[in-house]
Amino acid sequence: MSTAAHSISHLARALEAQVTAAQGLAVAVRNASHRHISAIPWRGAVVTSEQAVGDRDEYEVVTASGATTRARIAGRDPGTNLLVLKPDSAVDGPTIPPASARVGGLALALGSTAEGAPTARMGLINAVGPQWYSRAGGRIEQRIALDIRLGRTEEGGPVLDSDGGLLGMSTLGPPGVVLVIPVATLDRVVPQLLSDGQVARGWLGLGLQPVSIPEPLREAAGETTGMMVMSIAAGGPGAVAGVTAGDILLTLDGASMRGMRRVLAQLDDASVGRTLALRLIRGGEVVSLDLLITTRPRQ
Amino acid sequence: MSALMAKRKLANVLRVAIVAPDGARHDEIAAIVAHAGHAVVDENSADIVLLDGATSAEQIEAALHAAAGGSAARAVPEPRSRGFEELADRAAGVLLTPRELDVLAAISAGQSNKAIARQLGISLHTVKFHIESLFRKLGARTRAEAVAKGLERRAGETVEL
Repeated sequence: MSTAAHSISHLARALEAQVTAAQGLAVAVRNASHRHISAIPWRGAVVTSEQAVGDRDEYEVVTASGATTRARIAGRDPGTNLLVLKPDSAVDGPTIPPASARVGGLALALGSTAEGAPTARMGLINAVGPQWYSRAGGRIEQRIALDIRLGRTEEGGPVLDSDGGLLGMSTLGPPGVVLVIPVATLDRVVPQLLSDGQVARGWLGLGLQPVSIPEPLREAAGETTGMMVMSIAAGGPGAVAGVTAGDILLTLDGASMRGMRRVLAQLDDASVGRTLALRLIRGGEVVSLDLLITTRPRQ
Repeated sequence: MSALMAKRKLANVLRVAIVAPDGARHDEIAAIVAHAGHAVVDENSADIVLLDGATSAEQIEAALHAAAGGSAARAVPEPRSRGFEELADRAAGVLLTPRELDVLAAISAGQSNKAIARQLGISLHTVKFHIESLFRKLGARTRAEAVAKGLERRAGETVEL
């Protein structure tokens, strides 16, 4: 056997060993119609991808041994794509140390079949970036993208690095992109979900789309773009403050709606209960409203 | 009976899928669709996907009418599910103006330029001006394409805060 072939079979055996060592780190979450996704046992509870789970009351967790237990949703956070299920009997997984992501490193994305048997995918860590905000407003500690294809049922499983350390939970991102919700985000969010069912975060209760401000209004607005109100949550802070569909938001507490990161940073957990000034265009006039920030009601 | 007639007949009873923000809204729209004599089905087997955004019963009926007649509002492609995404700090590309969004909404409801002018209280000339600008910004050549691209853009740009 040539050296090259030898090192390939060496790599293959090492990978097999890793999947075996991680036995039990991926479980299946199954609904009554037997559709399933993958998940990670987390201190007796089970963590999975929020976007992949509907709002039924009852789920079944299937472990690697094929054992099943009933589970209920304990909390969910669309902002970080994390959902926690509390199983009737605790689901234990192996304790895996956290790992830090480096570009070019190998990543192993594990999942589970509906019967609890393991599935595995391998690829490079494609990109590692700083903290980021999702479109649902959640902060994620690090942006990790993988050079891996992932089936719908494999989402929500653990992602390991080449040393067997846990990078985080796999998540289907924009078309063709697989992301990892890092361990640091799980550590921060999962305990909150277990105790409160949600993550405290400032909420406006508004669906917004960026628009170009018509030329004649730009001077009065002091902005060239704004966020037009497309939908208003009934009884939400925006509705209470008197925001109406078609209003164009300019600034929130003085911060321009042009930079969404800054706006989201203003809507952190400390913002809940504060009253912020909202500047907006309505019917060609610049108007100011006071808006009391609340938390998003539990879904 | 010619193939054309068969097609026509089929198109008179539409299979309509409804995309609404919540169950109550879905039921409300479903009632209107059923009242108009069409069938409510899931997205995989639909002739037309009705996205919530049409606000009144008249608008929904107008869209269905246009679709049954085989015109503009027919078979608007549903923007595909996009997965978990990053929020861009700034919107990329040329943004639409509020008026262009109004015109786009009216186009997706299957309305003619004349009807749009009446509804928005602007001249036909201004409507045409907005539509030209929409086509340019969206890179669309037809009304159906503008509607599809506008929806895609809306799905990509809208944030819920």
